[in-house]
Amino acid sequence: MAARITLTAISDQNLVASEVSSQRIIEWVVEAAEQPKAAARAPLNIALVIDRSGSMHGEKLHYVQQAACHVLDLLGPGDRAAIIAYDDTITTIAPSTLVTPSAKKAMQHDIMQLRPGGSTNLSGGWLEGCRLIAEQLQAENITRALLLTDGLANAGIVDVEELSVHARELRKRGVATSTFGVGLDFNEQLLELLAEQGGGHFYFIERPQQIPEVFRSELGELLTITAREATLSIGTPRGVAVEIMGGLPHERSAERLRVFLGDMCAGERRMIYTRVTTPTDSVGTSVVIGGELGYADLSGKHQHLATSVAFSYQADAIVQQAGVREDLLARAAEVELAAAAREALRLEREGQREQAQAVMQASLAAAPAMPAPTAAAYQDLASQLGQGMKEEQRKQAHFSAYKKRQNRS
Amino acid sequence: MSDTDTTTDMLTIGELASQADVTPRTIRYYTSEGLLPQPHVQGKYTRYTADYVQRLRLIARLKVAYLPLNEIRDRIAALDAEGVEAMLRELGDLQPAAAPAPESASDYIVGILEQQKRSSQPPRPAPPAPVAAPAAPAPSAPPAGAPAPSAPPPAAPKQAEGFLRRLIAPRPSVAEEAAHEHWQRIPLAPGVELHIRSDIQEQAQKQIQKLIEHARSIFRS
Repeated sequence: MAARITLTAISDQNLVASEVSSQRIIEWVVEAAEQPKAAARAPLNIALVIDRSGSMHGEKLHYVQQAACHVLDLLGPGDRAAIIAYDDTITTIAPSTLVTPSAKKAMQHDIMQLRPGGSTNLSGGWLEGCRLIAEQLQAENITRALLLTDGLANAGIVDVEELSVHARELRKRGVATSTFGVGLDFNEQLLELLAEQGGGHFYFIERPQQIPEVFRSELGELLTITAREATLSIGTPRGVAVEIMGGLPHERSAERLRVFLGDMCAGERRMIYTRVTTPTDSVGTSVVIGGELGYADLSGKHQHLATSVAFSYQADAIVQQAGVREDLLARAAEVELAAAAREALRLEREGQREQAQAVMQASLAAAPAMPAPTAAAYQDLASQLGQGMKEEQRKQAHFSAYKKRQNRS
Repeated sequence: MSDTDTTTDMLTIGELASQADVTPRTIRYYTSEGLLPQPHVQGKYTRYTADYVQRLRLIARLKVAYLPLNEIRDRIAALDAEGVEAMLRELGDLQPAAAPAPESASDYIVGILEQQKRSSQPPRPAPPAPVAAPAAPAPSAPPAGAPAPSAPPPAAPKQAEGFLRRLIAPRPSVAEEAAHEHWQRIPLAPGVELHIRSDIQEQAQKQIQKLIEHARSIFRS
């Protein structure tokens, strides 16, 4: 089952100065072609991990139940679903089960029996969900845990760093995680990190009524995945510094920078920005930055695509006169500002408002000329950070920055 | 660490690194983090006694079990050579510090859960300096109900240390043990649940699955 994926790359300018270091930005574009509706899809192997702690009473749990039932409606007998409910204990509503019509009915029935309970052992519920689907992991299926919560993890493993390491290690071993935060009381930094390191998506669900449509959206993505565990591997030649912008999950070795893109759906486009700093060299030479996209297709087979960007050395005076793709620089700057916003919001959430404002303002000062509305919006954010934010503002700003950094369309 | 006059049985950092299958840089890092005792410096060269090899093997063995470095330090910093050997024997499987092959997601999760169980056990207290044998005679009449500690023999301080530690190590209370167990709740019908302790579950998977199906069919009929 061949997916039609393309990889291209361009830079803001292709000349670099021979006498001094130059900084350039490469925009890598990964695009997955649309698929016809009738195209085959990979079987899913998912876990729904549902918070049923005390705070979930009332309409929240009701909408979650509805959403979980809808998700099951969208699955077929080739897919597997496991359902975990957690408060301070972990309850397996359904172990990983093939979604046949009778199993579907039984699971939907059991979901509707859920009642809210105690405190929130998020790590316990999440890891149990991952454990159940890990046992069913195969090259051809898409294995992902969908973790929903409305509050703070206050039982089990609560350390954000530790959990994000587990999310990353599980992703490397084929188990991805998407997270769903409902309301204003959950820790958006934690959920975002789990999803990002876990190769999935993070969703901020402001109102419980939105839960079903958000779940449908995630399922929609899962059902149209055409390329799995996409990784962009960028060569870092001697003397050249290559950095990923926007804080995307990555790994670095002596010669390569690997950026983890997660799964890609039909019709999706990802734009990734790297900053390149070239050393001095003689006029007439050139340096080539190669990028290779690796991914698994629907049958689990590995595929590769490659492209490269070449920079030619010229006298600095000539380089200064050459044309620059300003629009590319502006797009890259937005991604960097979004990454700075995430960091600033983290500081503000911890009470360090002055520092948060300073971080935001420093990034704005360093950004090339932005369109006026964008600059104004970030300037506003900077003042809000300094004054301290209401929970709703904080979560909205955080989610907005997350979407900009991911840069998926 | 007892000083020896002969330097023949002492190793350079390079020799130690080679025998324990780690880099010299790792040895220096562990020393600065307190996982290894400060070595003996003779003139230009730092010398390590042979028991450092076993210490490094123990560190590697504990790392394979997913323990973070500061926890490893808490457990081994006050061990003498005998203690190191004893712990290595207890852990079993004396393997060189080779990196384990990348394991499956299932194995990784099992590792996390085992580490949680171990970290939730009360750590054996590690006194920062070797405990000297008490000079004063045993205290008069211990409080009623408390176990009466006997005065250790006034001989070698190291023996006393181990002996005392065994006496004062708290045993987890029944309530604490129960809290650290992991139970799964599986609903069979409205208001009816099956509780399964997680360590049992792996052995009796098939039987439990049968039990659940049968129970559910009873309640649906």
